[in-house]
Amino acid sequence: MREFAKLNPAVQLVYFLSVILVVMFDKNPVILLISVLFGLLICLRINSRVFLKDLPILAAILFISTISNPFFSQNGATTLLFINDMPVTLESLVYGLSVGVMLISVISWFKIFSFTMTSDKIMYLFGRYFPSLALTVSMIFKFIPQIIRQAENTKRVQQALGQFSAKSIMQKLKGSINIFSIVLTWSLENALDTAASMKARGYGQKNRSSFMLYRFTALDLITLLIVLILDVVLFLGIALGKTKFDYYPIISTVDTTGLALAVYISFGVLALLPFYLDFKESLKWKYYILKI
Amino acid sequence: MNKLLKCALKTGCAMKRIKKIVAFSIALAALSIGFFLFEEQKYTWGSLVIAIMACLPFFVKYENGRNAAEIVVIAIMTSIAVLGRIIFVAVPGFKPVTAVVVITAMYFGAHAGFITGALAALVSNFYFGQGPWTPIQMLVWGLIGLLSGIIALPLKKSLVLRVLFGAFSGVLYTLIIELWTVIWLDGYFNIRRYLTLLVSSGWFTLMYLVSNVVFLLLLAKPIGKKLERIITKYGL
Amino acid sequence: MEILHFENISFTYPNSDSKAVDNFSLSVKSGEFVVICGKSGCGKTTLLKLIKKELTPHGHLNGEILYKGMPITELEPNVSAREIGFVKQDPDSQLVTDKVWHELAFGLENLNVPPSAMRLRIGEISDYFGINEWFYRDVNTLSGGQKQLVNLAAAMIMQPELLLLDEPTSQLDPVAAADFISILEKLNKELGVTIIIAEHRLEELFPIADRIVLMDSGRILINSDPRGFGEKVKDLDEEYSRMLPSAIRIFNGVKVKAPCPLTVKEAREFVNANFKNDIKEYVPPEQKAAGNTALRLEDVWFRYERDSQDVLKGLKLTLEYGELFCVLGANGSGKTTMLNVAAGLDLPYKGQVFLEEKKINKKNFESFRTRIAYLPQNPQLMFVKDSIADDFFYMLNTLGLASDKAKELVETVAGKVGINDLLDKHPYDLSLGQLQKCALAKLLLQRPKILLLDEPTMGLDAIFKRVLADILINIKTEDAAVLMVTHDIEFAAENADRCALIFDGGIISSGTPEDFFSNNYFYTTAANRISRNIYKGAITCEQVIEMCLKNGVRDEKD
Repeated sequence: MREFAKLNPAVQLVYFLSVILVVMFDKNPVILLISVLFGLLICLRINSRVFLKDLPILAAILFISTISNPFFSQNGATTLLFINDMPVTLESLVYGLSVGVMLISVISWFKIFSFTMTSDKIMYLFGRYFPSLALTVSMIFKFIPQIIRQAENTKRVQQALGQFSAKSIMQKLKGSINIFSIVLTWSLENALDTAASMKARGYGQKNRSSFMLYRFTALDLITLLIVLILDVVLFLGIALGKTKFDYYPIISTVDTTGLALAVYISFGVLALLPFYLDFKESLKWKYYILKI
Repeated sequence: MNKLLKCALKTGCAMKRIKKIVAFSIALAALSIGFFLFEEQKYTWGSLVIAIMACLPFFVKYENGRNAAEIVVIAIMTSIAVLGRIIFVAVPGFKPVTAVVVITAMYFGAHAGFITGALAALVSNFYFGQGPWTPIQMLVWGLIGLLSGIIALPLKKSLVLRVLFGAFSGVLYTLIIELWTVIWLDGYFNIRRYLTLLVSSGWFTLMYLVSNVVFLLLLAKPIGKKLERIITKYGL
Repeated sequence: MEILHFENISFTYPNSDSKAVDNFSLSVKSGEFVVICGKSGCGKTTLLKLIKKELTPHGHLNGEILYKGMPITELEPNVSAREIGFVKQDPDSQLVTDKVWHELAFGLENLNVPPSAMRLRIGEISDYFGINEWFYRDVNTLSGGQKQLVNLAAAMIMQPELLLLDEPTSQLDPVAAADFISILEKLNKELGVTIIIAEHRLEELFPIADRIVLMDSGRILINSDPRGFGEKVKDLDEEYSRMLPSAIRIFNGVKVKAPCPLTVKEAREFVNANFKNDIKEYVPPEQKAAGNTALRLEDVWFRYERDSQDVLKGLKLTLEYGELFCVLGANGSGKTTMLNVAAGLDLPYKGQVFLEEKKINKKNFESFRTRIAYLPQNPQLMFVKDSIADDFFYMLNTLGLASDKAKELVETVAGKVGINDLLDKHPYDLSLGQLQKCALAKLLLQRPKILLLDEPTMGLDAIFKRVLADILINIKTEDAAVLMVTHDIEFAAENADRCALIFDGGIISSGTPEDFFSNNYFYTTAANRISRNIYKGAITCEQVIEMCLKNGVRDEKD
């Protein structure tokens, strides 16, 4: 994911929009399988420890989603059994399973999204159109750690003054409220100092530009073109109903005609694109090392 | 000179109109493409597009007013709201976010309320994870801010109204978020799933509602006093 | 060419009877380096803010300030933003954004500079200031000195012709402050930027300034080149000489007719050339006998997290009753941590802290709490209420004191520290010096026997430091002890009973100020650096002057 994260944020955004749109809205089992497998794989690569920790939760989501769906929906032709006169159908169970898989997939892909599209990249993208809003968010990210630090320091000093030594909870609560209150005062005073500094540096004039930290390189262009070409195939196929898949009343069969296959392959390539970039870079690196 | 200025102003206005038209057509295009592409999911898609489009006018208005003091105050209040969500992370549902948004709106108006709410959702999700629900959350918290800004005067005066409004906004939040979830998961309004979700998140909603009321009662006066001090001291 | 002109400027704040700036006239040439000095509250900050129209406070202004012949009030906003840069005291609150690169870009974004041009300017400025390495960092991860450098770079990126600085080094340690000032010198000499700086720390500024302006109650007392300044300040109140660089203080103290020295080198030549210097050793007055042990740190080891580095490594320290003990050391040497351990805020993982030879541990700490009082580096952190008096009574109430007794106590302490007129004020409306006094008063209300002070002189002017020193000397005679960590070498040399140097988590040397400083080569006072090869053991300006006078003036014939 490291090489992919170095690309221009605009390319990354187009990429994630394409993948996440499909993941969120297409319930075709092949698409679901591709997205969930590759999504989990990339998550594992990003941070295996977090991945293993999350695994039980994901399994629970899958389980609950499958088991509970017959309660919400009694559609489907194949009734397996009755619980209190409520039919439990095979279709309903499978639909529940597909919802579970989709949830896991969405969670994974948003994790990948959060990992690569850090806040400054998002601000970079929207800063051009909403400079004030982007600036506000940037200030919030400066203020939050500052406020935390001020609160911690105040608490320590108040502890040294014996303000938290009393055992009674009421006393401690009062102490905490005092700290919250004074830190708020401090934040507001501090903020107006910041406002003065903004004015001193010319803030408030009509037109404002936005600094572009990222350049648009040849690699960005190539990657963007690849993503767009894959998108054309993918969305054309989806628009032509090639991935249409019904769970009710009976589970339909997966389309395996030419264009449908092309859609699956396009999506697979798209999902694996970040992997490929990393792989290529590490090969190149090995080659350079050999040359030294 | 005057003519030139007028001309520039005119083209400026024309540019703005063109921009508006372009934005509107992009939105329409996005809506119809989504409807066309994901036929079963058209409501989810539509609601996301509408949520984003509904936020836009407020954001555009925010861009037009460039007052440094307003920006920093909104940034600080949003930071406090986000911090509230971080500090109380261990207590599900018990969050001061809505209360802070409401108080900001009470003293700085409906527009500032909307921006604070929307940004609180956006920024706190950078800490807790973005998801498809981010635009919906932004809109709902923004609307709560907007609404409390509109009824700011009665809110300031009446304690009862504050309590009612806190409870109302807590319920509103859950109703909308769960509604959206159901439509996303099933592609239609599956009332059984909706009711189940509401019941199973009942404890959460209750906590949320109670925390809104508690924090509004606790914080409205002291924060309000400080905001008023700032408003008079710096002439906002 | 004249860049700035003040014509009979007067300024009055709303709700105030006295003028903050009073009939002030001054002309500044392009490329000049002007230092404005004076006591806290003399009007220098207000004066600087009047030059930058975006920062001009509410109030009544008389007279006109001309920038390049144009009234400041009529400057186009983008001209004022571009050509007049401003750097303030607090490194944190001036930062607007969360990233260093964004902070540099901020001003240019406001001026609607196109991105390609911005990239060039940002690249240039980061090279010039040497901030390439932290270009992508979060501003919150920088040290105070680094933050202030970013603030200066963010002002300089606009390519201003006039740079205004309001006590920019007051929150920095001496090393960072000296770095900052040397960059100012470079900006002035290499780029020809006109600089007007208000500052308390004058030792490094005098040699590089073109002009020094001394203000009092909004008026100009002296306006002169640095050498002439030394001459003129003689005629004023003695307290003004305290804030001057050591070279000038010594020059003023001995009253010899000669050109005024400005640097250590010049002052050494001055003392060598003008005095007989037969008596070569300064004999300090008798030391009083050691008191009882108040606090003892025995082989203390401490680290903040289980797998982080040790901050304190077997530190040993003994504080005796009746003494003022100054611990000096660089940033990161473990000074503040040592104080936290002594205050019981942090517990060592190995080693012991003894209070009057009784072991302190987690269980019995509360019973010792009121005997030890701790003053943090930032006195603002001491206050949680909306007025000083409220805060005092709230604390005394939680400590369980009856209200009539509390009232009596507050009255006594307020009288002793001299803050009767500040009791009704909001802590955030006070100046740093006033706040420091109130913080000290809050400590004394606990009637402690041991005071632990973290950098109490940071940001204070020389005259206020004297007031603080008098309060501390007054406290320690009452069967109490003061332990302070500080960067302030001159303060330690003048007022401490004992000094110590902390390095890498341990005390590496300690002794009386005279022994301690005359044994150090780098870490010593300017007066000692001036006189070290002439008089042994003289470390303060007063001592050097005393030695000069004792030796007597060298005759012309010698």
